[in-house]
Amino acid sequence: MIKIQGDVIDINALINSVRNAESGAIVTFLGTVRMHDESSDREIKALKYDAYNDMAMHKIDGIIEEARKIYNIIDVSVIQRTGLIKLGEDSIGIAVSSVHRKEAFKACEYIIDKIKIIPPIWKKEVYSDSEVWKSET
Amino acid sequence: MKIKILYFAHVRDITKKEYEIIDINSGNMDEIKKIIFNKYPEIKYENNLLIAVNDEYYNNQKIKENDAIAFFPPVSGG
Repeated sequence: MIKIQGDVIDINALINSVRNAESGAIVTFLGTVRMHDESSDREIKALKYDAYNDMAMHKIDGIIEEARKIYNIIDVSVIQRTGLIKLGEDSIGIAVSSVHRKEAFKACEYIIDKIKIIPPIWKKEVYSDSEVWKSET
Repeated sequence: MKIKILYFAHVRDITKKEYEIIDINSGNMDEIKKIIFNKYPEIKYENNLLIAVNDEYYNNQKIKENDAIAFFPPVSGG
C-alpha cells in the first residue's frame, strides 16, 4: 500500500496492512515533526509538506520494488502525509513485514533513506513569523 | 506542439501558478528551458533545479505533444 494523504496517519492501519500469516516480524518507521533542526537556531512550529503526487507514488513504488530485489521481505506499506503537520505528529509511516526481523529492519532503513532523496516531496519549516522551504540535498 | 509545464514548492512560489500550457517548436528541453527562464528569470538561479518528464527525472528524453514537464527544487520527503 502506498498513500500520499492529508489525513493523520493511522498507525494501526499501516501496520495491519503488512500483517500476514507468513511474516514473523513487522518493522515500522515513523518520521515525526520536531521543534529544532540542526541547520538553524529557530524554533519550528510545524512543517508543511507538498508533493507531486503522481510522480511521488510512482517513485515510492520503484523504491519498494528495488527493496524487494535486495531484501527478502513479504510486504511493504508507505504513507506520506502532506499539508500542515504539527510538532510531534507523523509525517511519514513505513511498515515492512518479513519472515525474520533482520531483513525487515534493513529494508525499512533502505526505503526511508531513498524516500528522502528520490520522490518529489518537499517540506517547509513554519516559524512564528515566516516559512522556509527545506532541502535534504 | 503544446506541452504542460508544472511547478512545485519554491519554484511555484516564483511562478505563482501550479501549471501552464506552452507551445514549443521542437522536442528540445533547451527550448523549453529558454521559454521558462525568460518568463521567470528567478528559476534560472535556483540551485540544483530538477526537471521531470511524465513522472520520470529528465534524462534526455525526447519531448512529445501533451507531455507533462515538471520544474522543482531538490526534494525533502520523509
